Order: sequence, then structure tokens, then C-alpha cells
Amino acid sequence: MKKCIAIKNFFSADVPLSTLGYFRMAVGGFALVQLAFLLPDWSWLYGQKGLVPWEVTEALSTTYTPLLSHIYFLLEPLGVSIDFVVYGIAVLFLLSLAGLTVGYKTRLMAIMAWLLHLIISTTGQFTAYGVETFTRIALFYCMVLPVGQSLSVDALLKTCRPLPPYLVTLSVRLIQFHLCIMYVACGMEKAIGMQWWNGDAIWMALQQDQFKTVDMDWMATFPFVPKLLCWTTLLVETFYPVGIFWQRTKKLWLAAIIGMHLFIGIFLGLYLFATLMILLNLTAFGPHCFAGPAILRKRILFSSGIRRAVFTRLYRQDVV
Amino acid sequence: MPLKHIIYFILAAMHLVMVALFAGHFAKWGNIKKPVTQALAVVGNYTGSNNIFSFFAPAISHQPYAIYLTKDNNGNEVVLDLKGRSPEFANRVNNIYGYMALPEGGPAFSTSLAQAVFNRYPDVDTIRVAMVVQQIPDMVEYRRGERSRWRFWFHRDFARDSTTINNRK
Repeated sequence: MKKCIAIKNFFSADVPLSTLGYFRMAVGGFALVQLAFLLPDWSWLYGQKGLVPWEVTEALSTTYTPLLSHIYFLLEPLGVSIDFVVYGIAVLFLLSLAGLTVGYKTRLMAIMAWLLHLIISTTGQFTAYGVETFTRIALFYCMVLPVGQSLSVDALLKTCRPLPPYLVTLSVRLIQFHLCIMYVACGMEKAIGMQWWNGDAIWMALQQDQFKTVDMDWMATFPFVPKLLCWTTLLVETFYPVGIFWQRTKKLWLAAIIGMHLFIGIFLGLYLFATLMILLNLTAFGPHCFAGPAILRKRILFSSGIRRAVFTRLYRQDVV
Repeated sequence: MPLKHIIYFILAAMHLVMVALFAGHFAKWGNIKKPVTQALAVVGNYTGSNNIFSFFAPAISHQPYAIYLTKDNNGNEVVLDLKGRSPEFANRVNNIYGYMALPEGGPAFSTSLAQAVFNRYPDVDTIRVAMVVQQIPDMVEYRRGERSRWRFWFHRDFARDSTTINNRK
């Protein structure tokens, strides 16, 4: 019975609505930056005669997902060129992401962004890596969760209906649990490999020319350093759900996981992947881990009547 | 709790169960009827719940890479490396090299990349796509004096407007 009450409390505990607003802005903003990074090589990555031509992608595609070639097939009778389709989709994606980031017609923009990302990333599926996986997951959550209710143009214009608090909690828990499952799976899969126990995994990754950004040869002389890093990774990932939800360790765990992703970004050159993972962790667990500062911010903002009016509109239910 | 709320909870739970199942490689467990697996994979692909999170796991293997030896119609030979205009391009093209290293992926992806080089360099007449692999010693071997080195793996030759002309291992 006590366990049932604890579970019920867990899902009914008040979670700031702004958590979803920050999540939306982080995901939309990140996807815009990623798009800016990819645009110079856009036709190489997604064009008909790109690194992997459309014919090959179509032949190897098994996921029943729309591709850029399908869009072209639909628009070809209208006399539309291939380049128009390839770059037109990029422009539409950019507009939908901008709308999503500021929270203007949030649901519509999120659906567009998710669908266009699905088409683009499936067309370039053989060039995609972890960053695409998590962008798709995050955009799906932006589409189905009420992320436009806070810190958005929609909230300022009062076009959103008030949300029951349980729905906010459920939405945030969904994102948090997804991260938990992901880290546990990552940690367990790594633990199967011997390299993660003797330190060679970090050593090998840092020695690969594709990732090498800093000379780390000295690690072979001090093998306890990569070994310690490997063990810390295993610990932080495998016990992520416990560490991040337990009151005593949550701040430490958030700092550790962000540290791990910073390491990946700086030393392995996977800047975009690291940035996205840090943003997802900060938005999903930041308010949970640092509830104090958020309350303090509210108090400071409430000191002014005008600020209070703006704040009430932006945060809506947070202030009820 | 209203019915609508219960439905939301059930949907969220089902989604998370799918995330956990795919993260646990459920498609490889066996004894699961294929149409069911396929249907779940399609749903999972749209919802982002069909992922296996094997980043750098269980081990880090040697790194495959491709270089391109091109020859133009005057007989000039140039060794090319595919570079993009953004730093992100390298991460993307390295992913294709990973697929090229698979036995079933090699022919399709080396042909694709050769075609991409032909498209970018109109003067090139023939291309040799050479797959190399960076062999990295572990820390014990490194302390014994071994260093990482690139080894030739296989190559495929291509001529403009024709199919592959030669394969070598």
C-alpha cells in the first residue's frame, strides 16, 4: 500500500510547467544549430546524387518511412526540380524549427518539424549517427507533449487551454524515464565488453584518427586514468535512474553525466551529440535537481508588478 | 481519474515498454513472430522508441576509412580524401565507411562513393576506392613500443560510365 502511495505521489508531484518550455526551446534551438552545420553539405548528404544516392537508400530502406525521393515523385508532375525539393524541405524544416523554438502555433510546428526530420534523417540514414536518433526522439516528444504551454508565444497570446498538473508531471516523467532506460541500456551493453573494465575503451576511442582532437598518448603510461574513466562511465550510466532520482545524489549524478558528455564533445569531437545530450539532461532533470534556484528566481521576479504580469502570462499554471 | 487521463497513462507506459524492449534487443530474442516485430519496428521508427543504444559498446573496434586514387584522361593520378565544408561532414562520412566495412555493404557503398567522386570531379576517368583500417594497439602493446598503423584492406576500381572493373583483397 505504501509503495502504491509512493508511486502515486511520484506521478502527481508538482513539476514546473516551464520544464516543458525549456525542453521545447532547447530541442528547437539545437535542431536549428544542427541544420546550420549541415546546410553547407546538404546536397551531399541528402541530394539525389549525394554520398548515398536515392536509389540505394530506397533499395535498402525497410522502415516504411517517407523519403525525399517520395516527395519528389509526388511533386514531379508539377514540374518541380530535384534541387527545389531538396532545399525546399530544408527551408520548411528551418521555419518549423523557428516556430517550435519560440512556441508559435507550437503543435503544428512540432508536427512539421518531426515529419520533416523523419524524411530528412531517413533519406540520409547511412550518414546518421546518435545525434539524429535523439533529435527524432526529442521532436516526437515536442509533437505529443504540451510543450507550448509555457515560455512561448502561444502562452503570451493565451491560445493554450489550461493543463491539469498531472499531465505536466506525466510529460516530464516520460522524458525522464526515456533517458533512464537509455542510460541503463548503454551502461549494461558497455559492461559486457572487456575494454570497459581494463580501460582500453577510452584509450582506443581517443586513439582513433576520426575522433582524435587532443594527443592523449600519455594515458598508456598511466593506465589507471582511462580505467577510472571507464569505470565511472559504467557506474554513472548503469545506475543513472537511482542516482538521478535519489535526493542525496541527484546533483552529483547530473554533474557527472554532463561531465561525461562534455568529455565526448571535447575529446572525441562529437560536439553536436554532446550538446544535445547535455541539453536533454539539463531540461529534463535541471528543475528536479536544482529546485531551489528556480523558486528563488520566481521570488526575485515577483518583486515587480509588471514583471509579475509578464511572468504569469509566460508561465501560466506555474504561478497558480 | 477521468478515462482520458487513464488512457494517457497507458499510452505513456506502452511507449516506455517499447523503448525498454528495443533497448534490450528484443527483435533478436527469437520466438517472436516476425510480423509483430516488424509492426513494432515501424511504430518504433516513427515514435523514436525502436533504438538500440550501443554507443561505443560493447567494444571499440579498429577504424575503417576509405581513400580514393583518381586518374584523369591525361593520366594524372591524384589521391583524394572526401572532405565537406562543415566539421560535421567527417562524422557523417565516417558512418558510411562503417557500413562499407560490412561484407554485405561494401559493394553498394563503395559504388555510391565512387559515383559521388565522379559527380564532384568531372575530369576524373577512373577511381580506385581503397578501404584501409587503422589498427590501434591496446595500452600494454603501446607500452611495448607498438604504434597505431593503417593497413590496406580491399579495393574496388571504377571507370566512368561503366560498372566495377576490378575487385581485390
